Amino acid sequence: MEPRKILFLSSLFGILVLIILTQTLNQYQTGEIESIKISNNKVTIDIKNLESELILFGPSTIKPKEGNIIKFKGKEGIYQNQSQIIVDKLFLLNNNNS
Amino acid sequence: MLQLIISLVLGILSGIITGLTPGIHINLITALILSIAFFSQLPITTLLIFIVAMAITHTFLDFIPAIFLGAPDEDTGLGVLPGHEFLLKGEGHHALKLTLIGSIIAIISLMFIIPIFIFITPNIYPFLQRMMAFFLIWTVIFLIYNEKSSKIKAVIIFVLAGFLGLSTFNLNTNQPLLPLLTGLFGTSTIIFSIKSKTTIPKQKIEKTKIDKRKLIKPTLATIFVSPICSLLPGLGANQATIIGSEITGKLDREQFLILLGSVNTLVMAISFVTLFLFQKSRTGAAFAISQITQLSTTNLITILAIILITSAIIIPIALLLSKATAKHIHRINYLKVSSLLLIFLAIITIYFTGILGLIVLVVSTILGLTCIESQIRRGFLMGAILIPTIIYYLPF
Repeated sequence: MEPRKILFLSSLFGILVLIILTQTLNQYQTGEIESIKISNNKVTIDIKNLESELILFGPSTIKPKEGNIIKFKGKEGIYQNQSQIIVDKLFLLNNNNS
Repeated sequence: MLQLIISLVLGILSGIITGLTPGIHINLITALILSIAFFSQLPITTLLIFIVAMAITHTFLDFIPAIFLGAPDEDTGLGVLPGHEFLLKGEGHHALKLTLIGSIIAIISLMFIIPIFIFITPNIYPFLQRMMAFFLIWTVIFLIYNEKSSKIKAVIIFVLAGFLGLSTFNLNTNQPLLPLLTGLFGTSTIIFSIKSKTTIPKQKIEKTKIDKRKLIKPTLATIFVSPICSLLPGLGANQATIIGSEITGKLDREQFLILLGSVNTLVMAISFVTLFLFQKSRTGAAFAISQITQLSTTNLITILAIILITSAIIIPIALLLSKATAKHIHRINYLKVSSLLLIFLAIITIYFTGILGLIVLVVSTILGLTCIESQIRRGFLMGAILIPTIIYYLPF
């Protein structure tokens, strides 16, 4: 087979692997809000039994409160020695807002 | 005063190291600085000067590894191909000088752009945000329409790159752009050079003569596009260059490198003004500053002064470094250096992004090689960033 075809098929296969990884590794997590801090452009949420704190940037239509159960997913990282999850998606499970 | 001068000198020295190190983007370094406790104890002005001097120095120098070694960072990916072509003709130093001319244009333009930017942008920001997706789609259509070889192949490469970008950005990995762009533009070029047993000819060190009329198009494109791309999230120097080159019409290789150099520097410089106006950080350096202070007018004036001083100091240094590299590059065993570089880039990728990043690096390298083998313009690989950006900005 021509090298060009091998490369093309390998690209297709590699991208497929990445898509599968995206779908299997980046799952939603669920948790109860322990505390919440709201500042001008970010919301910081502590979840019960979760070491990382959740960070939401920018304005949000969702207004989570302490005690709410939420479903979320996002990117994990460390900032100033504190483990954080920058939230991509967040849903309230025991509230009508979502 | 002495502390401020030391801070400026250390910033420039750090920028020289990050700029010359292949594959290292300034965002990685600023993230590292923020995590070191020592830095948080320094006075704010000292830190500001250090970060700005380092960031601006970096934008003047990061084309040296991109041109001479084919190893770009996140902002210089598009410069590899034209830069490498100049290198193979013995004109690597000339190529670097073109990017420096671009950076100088950026600094001069900055002084004119800032008053207009401060006055106009708060009023047009919401409109720009709404229109950006359509503007990018229009840019992509033009890119494909202007492709002279197979348009179908170009579309396939562009869409595949888009899927690659989307899946990379959705992976739970830090700094996703590092493996993505290193693979698409860096390691793929290096592997292709190894495969074709590239030898670097003796480089010419001549005075650069450039027709002043040639500067008009890149300057206009820079002035028009860089402020917009500094303002909106998800748009960086690469997207700005693509949009700019499509707006101004056909640019030759020299003009393209000038545009890339100017956009690279101007996007960085304006990101500080964007931070001052909207409290939004669009570059790693601006983000680092946003974490240490809320910018005042005095801070902004300090930053602008540091940009000017740093540029004046770094231009002769950049020329010296480029000349020294150009003088000796033909003597080194390029194949051996390329192989070592591949290992170095893989180690950096694993260190900053983990095993997932390494997988992204491998896949994006294969896609980069597919594009080279198919003889399609490498600009189509920017689908990896353009498609996710378009989706982000679509208002529905």
